Amino acid sequence: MTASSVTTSPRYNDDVVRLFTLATTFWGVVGLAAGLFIALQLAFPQLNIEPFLNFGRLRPLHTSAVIFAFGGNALFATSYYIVQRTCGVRLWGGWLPTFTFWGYQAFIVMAAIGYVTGVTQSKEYAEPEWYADLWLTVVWVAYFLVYMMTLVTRRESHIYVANWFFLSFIVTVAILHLGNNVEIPVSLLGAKSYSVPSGVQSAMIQWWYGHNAVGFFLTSGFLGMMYYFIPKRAGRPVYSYRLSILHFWSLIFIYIWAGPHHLHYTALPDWAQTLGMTFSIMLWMPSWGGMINGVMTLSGAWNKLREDPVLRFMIISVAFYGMSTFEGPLMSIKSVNALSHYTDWTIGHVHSGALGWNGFITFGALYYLVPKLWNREKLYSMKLVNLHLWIATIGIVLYISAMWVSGIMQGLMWRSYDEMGFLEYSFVETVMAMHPFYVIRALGGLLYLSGSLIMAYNFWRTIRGDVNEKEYGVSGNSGAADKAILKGEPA
Amino acid sequence: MIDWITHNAGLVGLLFFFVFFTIMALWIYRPGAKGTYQNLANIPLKEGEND
Repeated sequence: MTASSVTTSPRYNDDVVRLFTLATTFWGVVGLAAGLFIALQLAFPQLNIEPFLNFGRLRPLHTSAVIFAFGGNALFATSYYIVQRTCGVRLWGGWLPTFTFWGYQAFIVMAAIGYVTGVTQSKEYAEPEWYADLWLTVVWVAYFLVYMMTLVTRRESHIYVANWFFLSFIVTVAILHLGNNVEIPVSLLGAKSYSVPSGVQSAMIQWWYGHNAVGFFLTSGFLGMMYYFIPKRAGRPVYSYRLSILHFWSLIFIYIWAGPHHLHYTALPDWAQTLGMTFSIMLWMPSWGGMINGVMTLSGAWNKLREDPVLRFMIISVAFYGMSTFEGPLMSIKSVNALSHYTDWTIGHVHSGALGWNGFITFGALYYLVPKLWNREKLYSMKLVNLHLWIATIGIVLYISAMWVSGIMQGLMWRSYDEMGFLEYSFVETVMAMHPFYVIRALGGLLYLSGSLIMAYNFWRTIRGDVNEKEYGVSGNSGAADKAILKGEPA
Repeated sequence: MIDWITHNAGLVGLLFFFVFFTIMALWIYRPGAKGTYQNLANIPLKEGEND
């Protein structure tokens, strides 16, 4: 970081936002690279390097790196940025926001070291053991305090709706984390612990946690980004503020009940499975209401989509939000789930949400933030943004279409019987049939990772103060604006 | 009273959430409030310098 890149305005604490922005970019590349590697392990099993780098240990490393490290840092960065701007005050708590940064990175490293050395609770998306869980609780309470107290000290009388979504994300994730990690360590110096609930109760609590991690970490928090960055980038207010409030309440009232759809046809009571399915279907309404609200913000200004690849990232992300929140309720219907569950279809569904919705809204937000945070007039290259957009989009399409075909084929092969009533295919035959799709999936992942490397390069050049002169036909990004900053004048 | 609520917690919860949600939905779409909400939607757009 050069001296000229530091904001002199004391109004906002942007130092911590810059740290989280850099961490988001870094962990994004790490998490996507881990994803590509495990995709290649599935296609070419000889890549399993025992014991530290086998699929079983790297898979949670990948999911945690993309969800909690990439997504989590993005949520910290954007929530801290947005709450200051929409409340008109500096982030509360002095050094506390900086503590949340280093504390959160420490949690990520603790969890990652555990994964590769075989330390796990074996709960999906809640793999870190008790000592990491306790540390995350401390960090999360600090995060809640910083956010809440910033809202309490606000100058704007109304709390803008993006903050509602962020606050519900922070509060609910705290409750989920505590609820799903009630465990007793075997010894104070050992990593191993046992969960207090067992059996189907433990499974239900796990998927109450797991599904709401999707609902509040990956949906509610990222909707906070949508409700700020799309209006900002488009230069227009959100299509309907009333609809955004309805979106908020209906989403949080309904999402919390949808977890049992992860446990169809298990020991979970039938009524609970049907309840989970019903609430999942009801989620169509708020999800699509929110999607329409995001996309229609461009109403009357559609031309901006043609001119601005950053806005294109954001709008494509909302389209993927609509698509994956249509597919999710569909897959929660018990008869559809009988075919889709335990197959690659689920993996395809998750990735249309994660790569399309979470990834793209984060890329859009980062492209918006980096020039502002480092006081650059513009990004190093908009052409590279456009290149990233198309490479990543092609990557997603390859990924999800390969997984649709592979998953439905896998489900159909598992359930086909011959005329004597015997299973028609052995398990290994289904695996062999999926091989080509695994290769296509890895190719999709490679494209998506390449896009994120292009983004990281673009950020590096932007932060250095470079502009692509061929593209803009001008010289110097760090000229007038930076000199003004150094003199203490507004950019 | 408390006993009745405890024994019918499911029904009480359902009614509470349903009534809260219905009143909230009716309230935000109340006639004459359009301008209020349009102003609120402009909060992110009215920031000063260094936004």
